[in-house]
Amino acid sequence: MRSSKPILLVEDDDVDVMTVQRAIKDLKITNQLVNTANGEEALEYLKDENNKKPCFILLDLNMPKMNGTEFLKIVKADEALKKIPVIVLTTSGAEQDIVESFRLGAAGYMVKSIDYKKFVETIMAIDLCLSSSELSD
Amino acid sequence: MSLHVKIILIVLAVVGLYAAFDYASQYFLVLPSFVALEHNEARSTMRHCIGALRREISNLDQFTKNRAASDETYRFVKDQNSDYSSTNLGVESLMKNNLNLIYICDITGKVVWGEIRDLETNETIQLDELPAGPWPQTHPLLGHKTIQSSTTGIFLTQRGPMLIASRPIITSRNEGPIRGTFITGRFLNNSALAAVAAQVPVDLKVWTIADGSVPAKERDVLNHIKKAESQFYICKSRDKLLHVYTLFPDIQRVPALLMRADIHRDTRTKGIAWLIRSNLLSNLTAGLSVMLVLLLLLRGTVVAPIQKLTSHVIAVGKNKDMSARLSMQRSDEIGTLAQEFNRMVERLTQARKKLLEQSHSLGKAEMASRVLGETRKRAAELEEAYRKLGNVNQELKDFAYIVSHDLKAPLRGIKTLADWILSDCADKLGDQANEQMNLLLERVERMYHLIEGALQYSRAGRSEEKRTQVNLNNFLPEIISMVVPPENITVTIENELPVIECEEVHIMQVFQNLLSNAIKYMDKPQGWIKVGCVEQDGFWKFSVADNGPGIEEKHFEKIFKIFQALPTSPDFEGTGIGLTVAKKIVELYDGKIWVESKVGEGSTFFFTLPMQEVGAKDAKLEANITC
Repeated sequence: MRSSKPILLVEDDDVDVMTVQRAIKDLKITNQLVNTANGEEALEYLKDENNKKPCFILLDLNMPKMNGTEFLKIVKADEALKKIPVIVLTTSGAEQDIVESFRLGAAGYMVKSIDYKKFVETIMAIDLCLSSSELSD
Repeated sequence: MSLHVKIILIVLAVVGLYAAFDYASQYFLVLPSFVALEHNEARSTMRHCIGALRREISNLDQFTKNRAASDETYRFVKDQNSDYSSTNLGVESLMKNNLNLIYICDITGKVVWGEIRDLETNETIQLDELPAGPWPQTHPLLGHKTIQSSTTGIFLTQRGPMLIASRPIITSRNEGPIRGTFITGRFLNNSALAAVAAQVPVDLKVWTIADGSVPAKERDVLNHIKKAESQFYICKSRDKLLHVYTLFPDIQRVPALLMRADIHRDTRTKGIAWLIRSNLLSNLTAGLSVMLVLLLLLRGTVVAPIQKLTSHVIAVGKNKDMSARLSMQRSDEIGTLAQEFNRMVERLTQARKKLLEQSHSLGKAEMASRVLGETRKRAAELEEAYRKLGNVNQELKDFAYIVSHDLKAPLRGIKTLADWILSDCADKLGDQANEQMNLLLERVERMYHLIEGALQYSRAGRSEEKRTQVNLNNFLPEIISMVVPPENITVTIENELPVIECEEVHIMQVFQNLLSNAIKYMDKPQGWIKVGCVEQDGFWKFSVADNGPGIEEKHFEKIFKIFQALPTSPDFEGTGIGLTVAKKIVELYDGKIWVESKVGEGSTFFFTLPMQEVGAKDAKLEANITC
């Protein structure tokens, strides 16, 4: 990934945030991780012209105020934002959520595994995948 | 009055009428002819009397003729010799010839000889009609003109009628000239009459009309005869006698005598009466026998069938037994009546049946509408319950989701943090702390899996997929590939598997769990798993057999309980819900699951699924709820 662009993480659970942070560090990914606790904040960030558009968004589906699906809808509806790949983070692996996410245009999904190592592997896979198919701005 | 009696009366009346008619015909037709016959006979008898009388007269005439046409008599007229007179003319002669009178007159009328005697008293009789002096030439007994001339017949005298014969006296050679008249006579007294009557024979009575000796009764007869101008008059007397009257003329052809013949009718009458009576009797007998025959025939043809019909009609009416049918095989009106009655009863039965059916169906319809109303109510209630169930279901799902998410999240946090602590500070902690951290991590993982297992268990069987026809022959290989059996384990399908109706997920989970268990616990270097199916008592009995470590009998029940997993190899996670989920699913389909095993040899897990009515029942239920 282009190290210039940040990775937007939309996640409310602090341990999960730490997990992502640690994973990125372990993988030596240099992109900046921007974290917003919920969908609204994330939208604000995205809407803010001052901020760089992230190279991809890690989106937690279960969030207060605005859950992930709603955020996804809005983002994908926005002309400026919809190009950004969104990876959906989900706890359950329940098909409904995944199918719905893909329908709404998610680029991929990730199950929040209890195994940290697995989580790191998944991040790596995402990174590889997105690097090879990076869209220009 | 019953038909039978009426018929008897009718027949009796007919017979009586016939008898009466017959009798009347006898009386008015036969009798008169018989009477006529009788009369004819009477007349004939009278004719015989007349004939007899005439014969007497004729005999007398013959005698007279003989005496008259004789030379002695011829000479005697002239010379009146005493030889002749003593020989022929005396009393002896009279008596010998039964004569009362001999007279000989000459041509002038002078009486040459004349004697009238009563033969019984021997008295001489004087008759004015036959005087002793010379007779007038106009005397009826005289005046013979020719040789053959004769005057015979009845001559009325003052002493009663007389048979008389008068002949001219001529020679023996019947030559004239006539010298005189020879006259003989016999009184027609009772004996003479009796003699005449005896010839017939019959009772004969004679009266002289002129002298008024005719009794009063007979005088009417005279008038009758004179008026009717018939020769005879017949009448009945009270004492069973038939009187036949006739008139006998004298020598001058004037009716002089009234003759009456009495004919006994006794036998005749009796005979007729008997004949009529016997005829009547025979007719009556014939009539009665005809009547009997008629009765029997009528009874057989008409009365008995009608009685039968009547009693049948009454029985049907009384007993309301509509099923009885009159079996009358006749082609006449009675048969028609019976048939029509049968048909009528049949129609009545049908109408009644229809009425009953209608009322039934009406009743049924009422019932049906009531039932329908009830059903709708129940259906509404069911719908409500179903809706509530759906709500509960949804709540459970939400709960499960929430539980899984909200419980797992902090758990994940704990695990991650503990993980980092261990990896960051391993060297700082010391062995004990390290081990404790490891144990901590293990416990956390265990909890995670338990939650996962609990979630899976609660979710098991509650999918919302429709039941479909699953061909296990196609599906099972898929499931087998999903569980990824290692190379040392061969999985075979023993026989043809059926097509069952179920949710795909369910049967998949059951087989998946059983197969993965078999793989998980396999302790032999060369392992096999055999999947089979047999039909038993309306169920499909599936089997998953392996040659694994086997299970102790005391664990047979336990292993199906939640979270009861036997120790496994550390490579696999055993949440202990696999069999529990399988059991839940199998029992959802009203099946059973159990295990048979020998420790060290292997285990066979069996489960049953009922055969196909399941689908049909469900479909019906679904369909009915929507109405």
